[in-house]
Amino acid sequence: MTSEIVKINNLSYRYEQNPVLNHLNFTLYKSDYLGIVGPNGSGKSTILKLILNLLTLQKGEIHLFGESIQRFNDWEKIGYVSQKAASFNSGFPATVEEVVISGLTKKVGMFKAFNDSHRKECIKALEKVGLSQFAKRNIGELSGGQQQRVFIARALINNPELLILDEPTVGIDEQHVKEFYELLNELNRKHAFTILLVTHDSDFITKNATRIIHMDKTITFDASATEFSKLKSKEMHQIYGCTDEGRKEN
Amino acid sequence: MIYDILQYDFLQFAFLTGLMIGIIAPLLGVFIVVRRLSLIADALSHVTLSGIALSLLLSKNIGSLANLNPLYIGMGFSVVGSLFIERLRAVYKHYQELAIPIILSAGIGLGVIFISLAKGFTTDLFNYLFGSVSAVSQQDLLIIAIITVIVIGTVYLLYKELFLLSFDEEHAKTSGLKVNAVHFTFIILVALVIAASMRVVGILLVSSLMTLPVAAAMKIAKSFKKLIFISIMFAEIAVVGGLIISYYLDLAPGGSIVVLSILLLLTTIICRKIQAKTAWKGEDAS
Ligand SMILES: Nc1ncnc2c1ncn2[C@@H]1O[C@H](COP(=O)(O)OP(=O)(O)OP(=O)(O)O)[C@@H](O)[C@H]1O
Ligand SMILES: [Mg+2]
Repeated sequence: MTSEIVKINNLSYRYEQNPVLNHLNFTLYKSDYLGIVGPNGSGKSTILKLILNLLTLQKGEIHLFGESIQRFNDWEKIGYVSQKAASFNSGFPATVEEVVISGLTKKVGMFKAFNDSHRKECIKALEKVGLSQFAKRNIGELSGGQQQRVFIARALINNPELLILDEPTVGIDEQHVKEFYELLNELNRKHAFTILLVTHDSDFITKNATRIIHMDKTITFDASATEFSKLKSKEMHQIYGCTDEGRKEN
Repeated sequence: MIYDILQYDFLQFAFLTGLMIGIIAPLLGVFIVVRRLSLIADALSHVTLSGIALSLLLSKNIGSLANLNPLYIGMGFSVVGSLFIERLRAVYKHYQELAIPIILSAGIGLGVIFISLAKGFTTDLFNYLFGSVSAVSQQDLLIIAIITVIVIGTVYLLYKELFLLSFDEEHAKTSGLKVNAVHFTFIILVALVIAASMRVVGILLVSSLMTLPVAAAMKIAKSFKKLIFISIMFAEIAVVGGLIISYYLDLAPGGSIVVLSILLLLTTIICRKIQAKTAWKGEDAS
């Protein structure tokens, strides 16, 4: 079943005594472009961390590319841009190129050094985010938004099949947000990238994603983007209670 | 000086060891500093101290161990200490730096006990604390040469993994890197370098040779590779200069090496300040 990229089955998670996810189910299919929206603290980042194996599964199942997450090993198929990326230690003495090329570490394999063809891939990835002329610059000298685009380039350099992004456009100016969504559209429509995007930017996401999940500890809405925008314009104020299941949970 | 070096074996040993340490200490120091682990080197050097003290105690009391090279037990303690630090860091997940004072005080506590049992300080111990120009033996040189090869080889082979781990640990995990294995290998290397450095710089000052040149280089370097090269350059200047000064003034080399490193650090900071000022002036004039 290779067309099921991510399959989540009855997933629950709690930090210490604090339940954050309750019985989640959803499946992400190949070339889906899924936006996850929801208020602060609703568990969006937690789902992503579970999918990325940064948090250990407690209850339920996660399958990646048809393989259970415990046995999954092709991590270079997944590119990740985290919510924290823009607030990293900006005093770190590294060039943009060094940062982006480090995305290839697993793919190149142990005991081997990067060569010129890897550097070419690095420039290509930087071109995609419009930063190729910054390759030799110290990353600390870039603006927050430019740094965020560097991290996006680092995720793209592997040509991942699945791209996971946690609020990637925070701190990026309007023009570049637009360009960034165009880039995601292109990756999704032309190159069939599967995209899982967490954002608070529900205007952009309804315009660009193909499918939207709204969640608050559990999934309260899961349908196409057009469906979501219809609903949004109809009952703006009542979005959070849009399904029966959601009402009960709240 | 050159004449003396050619003349005396012990000076050759001291300088060769110094040159090797001037490479490996800042080489690992770069990763230690950017990962904010500077204090780990301190903790491990104090554990090494207790190993040295134990070894000297054994040599004193057990005839057959009279010629035991303290490097071995020192190295053993250092490696075991690094394993304990890792265990403790896992136990105190949210207060990882707690591991450091725990191990550091354990090292000093044990060291003091061994030193008291040996009925006080010997010149040997003094040499291990602050380094020595004359105490490096041929055997020390050989052990340190082996450690140097291991350290440079491992860092060369694991360079991209170490970089990724240092720059962004979370990303290293999500890209499927065996983060724990890489970190573990790294900590063992640090333990080895600390044991290797103590002959020349002395236990109490090892960590400064790992951090001060890097601190100075950080002010200048724009890329990570350059940071490594500049750090090594600074460390070599400090080590060679420090050994020469110590030889002529009959000082413990640890002291002069560290003071030179600090002077280098101050010079780079001042140069950067002046540079920043003159950049403004140039603009005002035009
Ligand atoms: N490391 C942690 N330890 C304990 N609780 C946590 C931890 N991380 C998150 N939480 C809690 O889990 C809940 C969900 O957090 P999560 O980061 O998944 O939310 P989110 O939907 O991503 O929010 P945001 O929109 O602010 O990014 C929050 O209530 C938060 O307090
Ligand atoms: Mg979040």
